[in-house]
Amino acid sequence: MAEYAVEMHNISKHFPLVLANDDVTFTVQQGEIHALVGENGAGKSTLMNILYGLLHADSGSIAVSGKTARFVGPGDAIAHGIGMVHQHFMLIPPLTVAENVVLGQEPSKKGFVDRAKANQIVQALSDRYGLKVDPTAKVETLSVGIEQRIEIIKVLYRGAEILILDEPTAVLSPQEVDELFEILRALKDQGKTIIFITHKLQEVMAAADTVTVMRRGKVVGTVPTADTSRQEIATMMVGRQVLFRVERTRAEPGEVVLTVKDLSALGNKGLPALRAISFSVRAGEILGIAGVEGNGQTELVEVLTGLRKAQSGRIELNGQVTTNRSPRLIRESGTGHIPEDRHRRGLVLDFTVAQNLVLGIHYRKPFVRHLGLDVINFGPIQEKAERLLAEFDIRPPDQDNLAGNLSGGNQQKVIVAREFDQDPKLLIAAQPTRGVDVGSIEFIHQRLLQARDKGKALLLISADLEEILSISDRIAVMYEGQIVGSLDPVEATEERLGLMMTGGGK
Amino acid sequence: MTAKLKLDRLFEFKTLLGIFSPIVAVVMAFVVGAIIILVFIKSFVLTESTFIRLAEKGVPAAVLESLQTLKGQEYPNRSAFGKDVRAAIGDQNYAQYGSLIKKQALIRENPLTVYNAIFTAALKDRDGWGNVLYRATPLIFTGLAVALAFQCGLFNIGGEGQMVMGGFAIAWIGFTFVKLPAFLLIPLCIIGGAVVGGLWGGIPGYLKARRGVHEVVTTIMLNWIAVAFTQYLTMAYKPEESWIPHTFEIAKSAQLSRLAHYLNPLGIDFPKSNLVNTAVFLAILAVIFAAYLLKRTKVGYEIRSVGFNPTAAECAGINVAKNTVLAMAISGAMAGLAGVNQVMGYKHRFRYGIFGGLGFDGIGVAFIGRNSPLGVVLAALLFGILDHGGLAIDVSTKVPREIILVLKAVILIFVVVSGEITKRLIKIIQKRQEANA
Amino acid sequence: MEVILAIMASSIRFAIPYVLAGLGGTYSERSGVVNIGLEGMMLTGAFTAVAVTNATGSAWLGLLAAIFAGMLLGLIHGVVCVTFRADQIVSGLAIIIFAAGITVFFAWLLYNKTQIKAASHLRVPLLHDIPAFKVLFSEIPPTIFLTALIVIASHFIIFKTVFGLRLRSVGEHPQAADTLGISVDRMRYTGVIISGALSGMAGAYLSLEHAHYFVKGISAGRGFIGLASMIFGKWTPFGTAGAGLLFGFGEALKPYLPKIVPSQFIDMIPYVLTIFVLSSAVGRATPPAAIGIPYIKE
Repeated sequence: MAEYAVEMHNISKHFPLVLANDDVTFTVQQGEIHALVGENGAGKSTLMNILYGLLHADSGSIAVSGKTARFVGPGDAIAHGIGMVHQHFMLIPPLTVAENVVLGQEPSKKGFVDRAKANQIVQALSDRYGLKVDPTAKVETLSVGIEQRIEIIKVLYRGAEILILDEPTAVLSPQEVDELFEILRALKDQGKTIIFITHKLQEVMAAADTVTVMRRGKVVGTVPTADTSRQEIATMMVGRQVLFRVERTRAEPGEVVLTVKDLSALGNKGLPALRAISFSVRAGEILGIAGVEGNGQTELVEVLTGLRKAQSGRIELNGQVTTNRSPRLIRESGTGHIPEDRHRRGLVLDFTVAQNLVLGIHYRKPFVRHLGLDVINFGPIQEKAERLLAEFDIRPPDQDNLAGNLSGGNQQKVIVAREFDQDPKLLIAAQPTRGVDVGSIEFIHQRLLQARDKGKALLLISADLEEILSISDRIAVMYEGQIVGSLDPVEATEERLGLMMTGGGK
Repeated sequence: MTAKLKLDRLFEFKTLLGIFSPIVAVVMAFVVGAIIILVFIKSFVLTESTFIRLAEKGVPAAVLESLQTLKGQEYPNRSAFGKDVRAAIGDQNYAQYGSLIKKQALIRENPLTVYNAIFTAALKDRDGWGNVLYRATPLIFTGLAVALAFQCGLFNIGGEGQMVMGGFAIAWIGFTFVKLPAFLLIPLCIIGGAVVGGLWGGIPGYLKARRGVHEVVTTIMLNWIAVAFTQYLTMAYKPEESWIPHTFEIAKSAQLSRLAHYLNPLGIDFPKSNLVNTAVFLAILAVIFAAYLLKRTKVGYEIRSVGFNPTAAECAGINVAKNTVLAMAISGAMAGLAGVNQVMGYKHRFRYGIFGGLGFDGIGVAFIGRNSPLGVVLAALLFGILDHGGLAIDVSTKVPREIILVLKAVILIFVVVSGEITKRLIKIIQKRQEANA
Repeated sequence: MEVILAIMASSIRFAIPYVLAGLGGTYSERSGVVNIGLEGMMLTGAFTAVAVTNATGSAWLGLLAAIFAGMLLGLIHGVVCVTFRADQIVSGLAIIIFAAGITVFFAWLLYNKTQIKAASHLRVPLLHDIPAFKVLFSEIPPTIFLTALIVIASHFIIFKTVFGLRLRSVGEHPQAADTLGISVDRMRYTGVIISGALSGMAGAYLSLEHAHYFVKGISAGRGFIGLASMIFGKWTPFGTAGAGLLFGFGEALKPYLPKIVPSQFIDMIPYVLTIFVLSSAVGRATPPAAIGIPYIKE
């Protein structure tokens, strides 16, 4: 057998706005468990999608078990013994485990599904690798951890020798993570090769034999885990860079504006997303919450803005309790919100720029006149739009242009303009410069600092460490639904932050 | 600045496509209709020119002589004609010349004459126009109902049910409060129709907002419930001596006069029998109201934001559930107003038969009109032309008037298909623009 | 006793179109395509059955033709909804309007009237001449055996065969099915065409067996009761059959009702029940997850 199960040489892949993989060479030895780590946008998912045939590389070559391979689609990859377990499961809830596994390649007798045989095969696979699934159970009754194992069986059923797992622990509880690692070891004992993508370093150290670190589309290094440490990997992930720190005055924080105490909430799959999280933000300061996406930041913002129920805990804004109040009420209490997904939550793309600029305050005077029916007063809206277009340099400066026609950066500026103009006491900015051009990034950061200087309380949530480090007055790190560390930016180094963000703990 | 110009062009293109696709759909439907007419509408007649042609083709004079008895008679189908020809010229001649005779005698209907008949009947004079308006009026209401709901992202197929519930309410008020004078009774009836229709529309809205039940199924079910319920009520309020399933007549003060009643004294010649009545003005008001509501009020703004992007609307503090119910209620109220034309303006009673199909036609009208108030008016007028003109083709051509239904259905199919194609074209153009940017 | 038997027989007779149409709807919706045009497919089937029966003298040919006509309409619905991914509701509505028009159109053309007597009805050739069976068949139409067979077969097809498994997967999670190599479009076309076939058959029963006539608008909303049966039966063959029987029972009961219970309230029952079962907090009927959403390959 060839020494290398997978060899990817000089792989490059362009997307319209970004070079996702930049001359990447990635090799995996036969029968090893290999972790592929990096921050969001590092290029690891792209690389694996190329390996699985979902994407085509612009250049480079792939060899599987020593033989060069060209993959037109996943079918080819599967034929070469590669199986991928995606982050988002492709399971059909009302069907049983066995039905989900065999779908498309069903064992059959004269057109009838051979249930018994399917169950038998699934049971055998389950026993062989210690997966512990019940073939007859309906998927909708099963936990996420078991769903993942079903995906693994699916892949094994189709003859995979090389398994790729994309962020497998993202949706698992700690016990389920341990169980997964046992399974991976069992698979390895049976001769399988495993690649798993993650950003959680203690898992890398616990489960992998080798780790490859990617950063901004390039491979930073490949080392056996035995020869390295979490700190080293974190440094490689996060990188040593000259950070552009915005010129700013020292903050003078005043009263506490926002208090969050023991806040807990569930995520979309019913698993805890926020675990008794507590922090506070004062007027005139920017609290930057750093963390890799998927650790509860989205849910935190949703709970703070009234878009998600809190199970327990308390939110206080200027002394007013705002836990589980309606979004409108929370807004009216003086909260502004720059959402992390500007297309889904921030803008109505089919509305004009002017209409988007009053979204959320459209019902207030002077934008409406109460004539029995609330009639829109176009004059004040137009004036406001003109003013904001100029003030925030939104291009093209046409308020009747549909928001969907603007570039990402300008769309974000519309949202920023709208929220700032409200003069909120607390401004929550979630990933405010994601997907935004450099010029607009600078602009938005300036505005955030200006607001802070005017005495506003700002909560900045970002996966971009540079951003956090450059404008925050205080930094907190969020990991798995909790605040795991709080630092002054002066003492915050990339290493320390990277470590905390990947589970390194206090 | 070139970016702005490019955007302008896209914008125009988008709206142009939006206007074009229903027109293209209508044209394509007429083409399909023409094909059906050409293929299926046949008749067999022996005219002078047929005889001449047959002679030219070599049919012996003796045979032609025996055919003379059939001259001028029109046969709707081949077998009847063939039988008589055979009887007239004898088996042997029939074997030889039968198919030739049948071929020459075959006349197909010219689709253009049919379409011409439709449009002339509808548009040639005031009577025609009046009837078109009369038929378009209820369609404007039911069409607006669907269009308004659609602006909120909701599919209201319950126009049929909301309409009859509202219609019955109108009739009931009309024959119960007979002592009231017109200036009180008429508004009361109108309000009653709107309120009851609105309630009937609000039910599916509530179920959607609170329980997430898809409004398509609930509105369909409520349609049939409404039909059954109003049938029951009709019998309950039926005049004893009447055999017809209709209610009491509404008070004179609730009855709307036909337009002729107003136009004739002004010197405008208008046939008294023409059914168009003052309800058409209410329809115009409804259109203006709908347009105004959508574009110029807070309610319209919120409804549209929910329709375009409920997640963003929610994030901005807009109450999605409330607006869902509101949109469905307004929609139902609109449909309920169709009864103003049918009950107050036409039959002066409630009878289910006067409402049949108007709700469903409203869906077609809304979609052909791209769910905009102005579009609804144009589409309603189109349907009015088809409906009224359709009566004429029964009389003046051999085409059964049900071809109109076929035309409507085909228009509808082409409209939705072309709507999809339009959306995709726009996406492709946008992608190309982004790539170039 | 007599009365009870009569009601039972009546129930079955009324139920057949509901069950067949509802079953057709089940196939379509299980694959993810909403089909409200069942009413139109039924009407077309009814007309085609009579037309072909009268032309050929054979009711079985009429039945086959009706099934074929239904399949054709199903195909159209498939093209519009699956290939063009256009709005499924409007397409279904268009089919209803189209059917209403085209049936009367041809009725006028071929017969010069809209009430057409069926020249024959379905007879099982040999069995019918045996006296014992004759009695049986004159009370119960042969189509009921066909229907029962189809119901039972459908249960096995949908829940036990490879085809059924794939059909259901396409309606629940087309993307998952697609990644496993199943052709979503092909499955959906199949589901929709089957729905047309069964609705056409329902129509044939209506005109050949039930009324022995084609009359304009003979389907009279039965397609919608079929939809209600399907929903109330939670998209399963046996459930649909049960619901259809229930609604048929209500229909059969009408002449025996005391004066105080208006028959129109019986008419409402299928629809009210459907709304309840859709909105109830307990035991709610949920349709296949991906229904109504056109599948676009990313």
